[in-house]
Amino acid sequence: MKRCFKGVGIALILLLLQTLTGFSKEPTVYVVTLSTSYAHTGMAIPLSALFYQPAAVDSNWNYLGRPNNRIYSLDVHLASKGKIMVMATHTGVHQSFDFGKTWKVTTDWRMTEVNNIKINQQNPDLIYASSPYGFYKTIDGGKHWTKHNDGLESIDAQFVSSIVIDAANLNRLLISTEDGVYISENAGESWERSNLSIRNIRIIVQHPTNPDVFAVGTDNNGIYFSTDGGKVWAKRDTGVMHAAFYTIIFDPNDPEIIYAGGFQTGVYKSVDGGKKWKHTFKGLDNLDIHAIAVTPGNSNLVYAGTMGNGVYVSEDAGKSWQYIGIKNGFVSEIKIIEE
Amino acid sequence: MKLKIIIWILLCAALIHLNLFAQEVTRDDYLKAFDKRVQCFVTTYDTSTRVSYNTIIARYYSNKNTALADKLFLQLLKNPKGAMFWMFPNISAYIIGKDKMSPKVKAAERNVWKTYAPARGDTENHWAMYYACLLLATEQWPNLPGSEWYNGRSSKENFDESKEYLFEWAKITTTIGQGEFDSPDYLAEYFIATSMIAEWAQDSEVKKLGTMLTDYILADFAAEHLDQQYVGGYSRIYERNLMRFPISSSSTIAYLYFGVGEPLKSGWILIPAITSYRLPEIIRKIATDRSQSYVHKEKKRVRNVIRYGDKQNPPVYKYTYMTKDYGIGSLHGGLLQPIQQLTWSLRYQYGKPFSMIFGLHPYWSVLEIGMFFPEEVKTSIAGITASKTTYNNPDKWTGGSPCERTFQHKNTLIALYDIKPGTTSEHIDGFFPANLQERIIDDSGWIVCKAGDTYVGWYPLAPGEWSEEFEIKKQAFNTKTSSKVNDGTMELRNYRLRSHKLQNGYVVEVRSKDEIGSFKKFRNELKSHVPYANLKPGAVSVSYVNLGGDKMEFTFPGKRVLNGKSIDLTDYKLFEGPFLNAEVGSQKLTLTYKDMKMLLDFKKLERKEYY
Repeated sequence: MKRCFKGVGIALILLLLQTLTGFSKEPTVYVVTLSTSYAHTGMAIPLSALFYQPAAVDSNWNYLGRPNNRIYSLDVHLASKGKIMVMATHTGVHQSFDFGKTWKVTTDWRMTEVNNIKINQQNPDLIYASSPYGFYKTIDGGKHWTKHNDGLESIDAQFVSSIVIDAANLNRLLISTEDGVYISENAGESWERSNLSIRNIRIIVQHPTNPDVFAVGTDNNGIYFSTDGGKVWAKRDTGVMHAAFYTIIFDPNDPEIIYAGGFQTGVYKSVDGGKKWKHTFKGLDNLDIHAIAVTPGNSNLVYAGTMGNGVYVSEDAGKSWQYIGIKNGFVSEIKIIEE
Repeated sequence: MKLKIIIWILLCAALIHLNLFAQEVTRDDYLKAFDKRVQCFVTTYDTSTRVSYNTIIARYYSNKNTALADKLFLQLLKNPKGAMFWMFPNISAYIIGKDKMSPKVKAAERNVWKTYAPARGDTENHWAMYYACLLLATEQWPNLPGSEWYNGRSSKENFDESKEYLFEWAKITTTIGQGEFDSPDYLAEYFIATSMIAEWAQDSEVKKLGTMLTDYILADFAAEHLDQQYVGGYSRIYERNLMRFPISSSSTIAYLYFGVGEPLKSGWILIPAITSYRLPEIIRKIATDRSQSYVHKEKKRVRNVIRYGDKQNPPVYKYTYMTKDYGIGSLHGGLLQPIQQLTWSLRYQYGKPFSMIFGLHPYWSVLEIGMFFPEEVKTSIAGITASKTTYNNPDKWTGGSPCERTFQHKNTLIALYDIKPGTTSEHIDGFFPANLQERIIDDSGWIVCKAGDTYVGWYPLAPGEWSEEFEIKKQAFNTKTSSKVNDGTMELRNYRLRSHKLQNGYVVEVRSKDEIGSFKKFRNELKSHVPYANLKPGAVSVSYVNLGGDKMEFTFPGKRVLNGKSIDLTDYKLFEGPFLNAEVGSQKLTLTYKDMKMLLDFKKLERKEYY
């Protein structure tokens, strides 16, 4: 309960911060891809890219560059109004300090195949990143990166695929790995395996208002939930007909609504906090889903990123979908940022 | 007159036998001939008008119509494409031509390194090329801020990172072995990277490292070279190149640098060829003197295992037996490199380019892909097959398998397979070229083959079936699985021996005419050498006394016993043989040929030749 209040408190602080700074416009949809057929000026070849557009049903995407990098993940520092952006790519961490106009690779050859990245929103100098080789952090905004695999003993444990900064305790981190879920109580310095017996975890996410609730998508065993901060886990799969899940999203407007997608799944939706799921795929030309995002303030407007067919949007809260561009895009993440 | 002719023929035969022809090539003669080969090679490109970096490089190099080179360069700079495969010809063209090109081209070239981001790639050869090229580029434009480079890093940051990586790669290669090792196709990529920094690096340490690494990778090839062919097991090879070895760039390297075989002009070798690097005489000798048969052993490392494994870089054990007529070599087996591994092969002098016999378990799985690639394993097969089209083809001719292990002793090889039901694929295959002079199914159970002066016996431990495979315009197909009809344009390429028994294996015996005498004698001797096999799941084993009287006992996956003594593969050195020797962890390679010696000490960055 105490953790719950903390989470709500942080959310309120962020809201207040946004209001005070006037940083509250139409949300922006950011999409990162491993590759696309997008033809940038002079480069009519498949490109990785960061795209953005206002949250709307629109197939015109703005291009923010970073070709040839296989982009896996994006994070944005909210308080700086998007001035600070970071991307996890196969060539390392790319950082922008000017709203994505210019970028710098802040890592060297030691950090490769970086697949997830999270900014500590209260301290943007503190950034966490993961890769198949382990967990990394910087405490000086990317000037220096250090590897922290203490407790991640096996090859599989070091294959980290996603990171959650616990909203109730920013020093508490949870990561998904090929060996299961690992938890750090000291900002990623060391790790202990959680009790989840299932391995090959592809994604971990936290409930937006109840920080005790976490959900994971696995490569072979469907979706699991924890309601006690990651200690005890239970499968919630009523209605689930698939095994591999790469993305799980809580609707920020109503967290009882959850979307999930993965290998050949189309989009699954639950309206009761994950107890029961319904499978929807009307309008989707590609059922491999790696990214889903719900528009803050508009639960009907949902985006889904496919692995090979770009982005689809639903205007009816996931009942049906229509293609809105990024041709042949292998979409790895979609983020909707309120500005 | 007749007597004179006979005496002359006998004299020539004696000289050939003593290998004096090969050894009488003096260093000066070799260098002159090398320069001629290179000049002929360069002419292919410096007379071309094709829009390609090779045309541009050759024209700047030869000073032939550099205005055309400028024009073509500008054309290519307008639309840069590619990763490190773009970087190496691009920066080479700039360095070779910078004193001849127009200011406009120079400006365009500078701009492209600011605005175009080439990918770094994900394999060892990619990184070697990427960092070699980036380092050379930073030396061309030193002291620039990050805003002047495609990755936002300053000239110094890029230089420091590149130098550090190149030294780190050299260290791991000379300590626990190269990861992407002994590849007839990818040898060129390393050769390009190392020879470029040997030639153009301004940093003296990097330059020295480049020369030493070039020596190192060419010496590695030389010890397993047989008349333009890379012998034995490979980390990577493309199937089309496996079938037609001259396509592999290593064959062009053999022609240009070892001075053997048919003239080949793989465009990959143009850049190394126009550098001032000259093959040390000792490496040429090692590559070409096959007057004595020998065993050559190596330890390499598995490509980075990122999941589903116990260690990141387990060792690879490689065993090769070389003679003047043939070479047979094997990796110890298992999944060592994704997709393009060839665990063992026999190559010989006869019937090129189909001058090989080999076998495999054509395995593929999401497990294999997940071990080596970071993407989602379940969706990755489609991505892999987009570029490696035969990956999930049960008829493919390349690929490693966790169900395959080998045991080799000189010219005898045993391969065992223990395949679980449901594994892709549920069969093993043997490749026998159609141009064999003999392919006899002997009553003893041996398949006995003759390829010129090389004789091959193959004893299948379980029954199999034969099929014929044809080519139409070099596109292969199998008569059992294809509906194509012979309209007269297709040519028989090979026979496929397929066995569907999941617990399986075979014994391969190879002898040359010099070693055993007649083919008839070889066939007769095989009759009394029959392997005893146990093909129960989980207990696959074989006991065999070879033609040399050595008893080989092999139990899948890893128990190898020779004449009662267990073979401990962990005893393998990085290199061990008459020519190359290196201890694990030493960072030193010693080359020996008769009274010649060369030492490459990467720890001290010293290169010494003792003649």
